[in-house]
Amino acid sequence: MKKHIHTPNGFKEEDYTTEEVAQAATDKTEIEKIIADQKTLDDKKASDKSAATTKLKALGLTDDEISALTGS
Amino acid sequence: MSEIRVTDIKGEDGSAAVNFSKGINISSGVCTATNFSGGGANLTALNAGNVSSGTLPTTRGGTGLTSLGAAGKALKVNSSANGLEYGDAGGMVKLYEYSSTGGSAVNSFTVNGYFDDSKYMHYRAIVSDVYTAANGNANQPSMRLNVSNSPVTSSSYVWGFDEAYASGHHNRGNGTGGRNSSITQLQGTWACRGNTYELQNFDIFFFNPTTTGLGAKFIKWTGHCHQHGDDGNRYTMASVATGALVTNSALTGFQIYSADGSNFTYKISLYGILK
Repeated sequence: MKKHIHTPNGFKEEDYTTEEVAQAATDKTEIEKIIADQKTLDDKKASDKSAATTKLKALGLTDDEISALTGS
Repeated sequence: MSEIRVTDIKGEDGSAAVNFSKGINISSGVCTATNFSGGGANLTALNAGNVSSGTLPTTRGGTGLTSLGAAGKALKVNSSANGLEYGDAGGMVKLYEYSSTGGSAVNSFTVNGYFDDSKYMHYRAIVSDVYTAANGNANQPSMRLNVSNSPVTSSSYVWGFDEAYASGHHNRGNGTGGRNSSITQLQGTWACRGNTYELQNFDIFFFNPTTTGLGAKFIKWTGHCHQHGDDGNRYTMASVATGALVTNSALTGFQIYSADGSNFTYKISLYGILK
């Protein structure tokens, strides 16, 4: 893994240190968990929206009316 | 009318200048002398290229200066308001600029050591044309802030943004349960890579990064990127975001990295806003 370092003393391109490689592995695990959590929330929102739309249609609303109501 | 032809005219004592008490008209030719004295009120067609000494003052439309300032400096009124000088113009000053576009791709870059509390209060970093050539990893950038010249990796960051794309919105952030070890997402989960038009751009503003004594260092940013997905769908997104590092310490810089291991090229411009 490579990195760029910009300082007033100059520019350098270097390999990651052992510590930075370990940190990168930790970072990858963390972001994968965050993305998975976000997907769970997004999927639930989509599921809730679908269920709500079905119920609104059962009440007699058209797709356009539901869209106007939900803003999507 | 008559004509006098001589080779030398002198005063009556043979050494003094000749007096022309009623003036003299030279209708053609050149009047040449080693020096001229007296008022120049009626001189016309003066050639500025022949001026070889002295300084034109501001009271006569000049600068009062005898030399040019350094590259990029502006001509401005000095702090005593009694003359002009070359220096930094008000507003934003470019502190650093770099482009790796077309060059080697990296997993991260750090910009450190440019914050100068004696001159600037806030800063602006424009990270543009972030580009990952290879398909595979997504290249969703994260960010850390530097204290004492190193990125802080403790769980001390809060962040959140609202992002518009196509007909939808994403709300992302560290949530309410705790802090993250980074500003984990600058643009969410868009996989901008492969095509040279799938670029990411971020306009990042640093609020008082060198202030000490208060408990957090805030940034705000807007994110702008385009994804041409593997499924053929094209999305363009814009986000409005804020983040902070909970710390009393002054910041010395920042790091942007790709947590999923993507390599990317980028451009960075850093500006300081003068106090």
